Amino acid sequence: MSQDVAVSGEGVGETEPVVEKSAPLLQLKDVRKEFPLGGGLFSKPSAVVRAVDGVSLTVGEGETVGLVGESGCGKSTLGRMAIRLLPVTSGTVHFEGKDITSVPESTLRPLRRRMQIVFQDPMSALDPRMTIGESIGEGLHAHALVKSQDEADAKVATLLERVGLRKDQLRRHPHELSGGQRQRVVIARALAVNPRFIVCDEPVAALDVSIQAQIVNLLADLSEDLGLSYLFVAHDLSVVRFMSDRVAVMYLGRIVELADADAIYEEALHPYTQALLSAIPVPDPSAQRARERIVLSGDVPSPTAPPAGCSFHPRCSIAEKGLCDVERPLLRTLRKGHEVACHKAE
Amino acid sequence: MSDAPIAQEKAEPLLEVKDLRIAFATDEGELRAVDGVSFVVGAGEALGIVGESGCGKSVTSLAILRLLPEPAGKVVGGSVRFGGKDLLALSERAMQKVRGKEIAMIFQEPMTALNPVLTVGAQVSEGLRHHLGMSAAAARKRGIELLEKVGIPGPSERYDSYPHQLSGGMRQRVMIAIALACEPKLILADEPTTALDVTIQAQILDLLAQLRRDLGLSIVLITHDLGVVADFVDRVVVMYAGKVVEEAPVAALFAGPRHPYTRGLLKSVPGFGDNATRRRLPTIAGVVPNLRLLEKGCRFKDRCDERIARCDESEPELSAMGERHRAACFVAAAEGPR
Repeated sequence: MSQDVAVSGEGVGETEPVVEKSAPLLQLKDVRKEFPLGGGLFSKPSAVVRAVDGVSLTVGEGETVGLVGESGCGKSTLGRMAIRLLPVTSGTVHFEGKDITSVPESTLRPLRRRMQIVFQDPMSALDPRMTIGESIGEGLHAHALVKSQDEADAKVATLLERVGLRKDQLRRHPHELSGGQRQRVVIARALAVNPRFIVCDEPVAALDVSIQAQIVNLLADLSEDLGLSYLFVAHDLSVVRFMSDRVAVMYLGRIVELADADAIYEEALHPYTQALLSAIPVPDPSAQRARERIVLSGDVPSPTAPPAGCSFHPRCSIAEKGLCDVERPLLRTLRKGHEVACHKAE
Repeated sequence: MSDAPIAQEKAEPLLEVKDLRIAFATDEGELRAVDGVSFVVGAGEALGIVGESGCGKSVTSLAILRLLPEPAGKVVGGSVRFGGKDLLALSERAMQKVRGKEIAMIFQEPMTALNPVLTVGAQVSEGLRHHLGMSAAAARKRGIELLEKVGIPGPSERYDSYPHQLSGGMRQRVMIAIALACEPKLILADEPTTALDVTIQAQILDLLAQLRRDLGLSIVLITHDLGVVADFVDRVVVMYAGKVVEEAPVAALFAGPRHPYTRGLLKSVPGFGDNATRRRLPTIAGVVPNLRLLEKGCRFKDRCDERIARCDESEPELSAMGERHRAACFVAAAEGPR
């Protein structure tokens, strides 16, 4: 694999050189993650959860890929594996064209600067005893991006303004800020080291509606101004559509549909995607009450014992006996750039 | 507020909250979490109370059932009338006969609301035995019927399960079964679907709507999700910083919101109107004011783009904007009903 090492830019506003167009910034190939269940020091695990079961996905330069699905579908696990916060059980992860699947931590360390993560709950993502200036500045020192404390302070002040906070809030502690402000701090901390790729794991799920909109706009601005790529993990499909260029829908550890954001929302092909979209209540009483909704029966099956064949077939209204409960559908391209894993989709 | 809540078509509303004020004692002094809130709920009606964290919507529902964490939080003014009784004046003993029996509550997080060391059955049948004096055998039979009614598969086996053995959606169904056990007239549902996935949320909302039709229940649905409100309720009360800023029938509220806060809230929802893919959402600038440090005037003024001089001087009262539609805004009041 050819590699094009990016030169770090000075200052927050600069973007870094583009990797050659052919190689995507991030490439996941047939990635799997198994977690052993039960078992302890002296006993073997009783079962295995396949949290992610063979997922291939790319994120291009400056692209935002949305990853949606319900609790337990493996979307957060996939996000963590993308930046190797979790090792994969099998499959490969390439970042900037370089295979990072099993490189040692020392090789990974300089790359870490270019891949960051923003978590759902900023209160637990920030150290309560550190001032927000210290939290944001920590990465600058760790990666030796600044020579002096003064330089670090100046950079932190720029970052605070970039994310819509005031410079004088530098010495505050997380508990003195509101939820939205804390999430801005977490975003500033991720930006401090000039990343090119950020995994956003439910970045607005813990925030109020009016604050959600502010954070979503901030993330969109940053992606535009700095050319950042995001893997945007969320359960809220409206927010994902708003943010994403392409969207992948996950169910029980697998991608069931992958397409441009508009295509997913306007002509969803997988029955699960259709049900997911139809379950979002629309904030318009007449439209909401008039439209036909698909209400899925039952719960998501346990990932320890996924159903045979298509894992969605027990809840699917168009499942065909003898086909969907036997043979697992693979992702196939039905239209340009629109892939779906369903036997019945046309 | 001196004026009474909007009159119901029927004579006596089931629940009437009038000028309710709730204060919390904190280290930095008294905090007025709810400051003069009035609304009514008619028989068989579903009312939505909408607002963001800290607007006072949840403590209002706790105050109705007298479940505020006293002595830190207490009602310091107003009245709550339910079925002709003044709930705030009842003895604790009399109040226990109201809770669960006449008014039931569904909480957001079923895992924390259910007792982890008791079986589902023990919790569903508790009210039946306590309020209705049923025998253990009769309560079991009725409890299993209730689990079946809320759509739990294998109800007689699940009756002996513990909460941790159920999924989030199933736990919330158990909560609903407990709430329904004594056939209450009113259910207070505080963010009943917030902790659930969208497909499970759709199932639970469908269930609540169906139970409401079948049993003629009144429901107060407390939520931050405008989509859920649009789906489910007849009328909406919008709260901001401890006050009602707008109330209207659901169609009128979404078609013509009059308070700038309601408008901002509606506009900032992605996927609503032309918000689907525009890449920038309209936002409400700033944050909710600190309730301890409230200045004179309208509580929304610092975040409002329609602020006029009067907003700094006094606090707007609710005024009529149309049929059963009121908003607390000087600008809207000057424009009058549309």
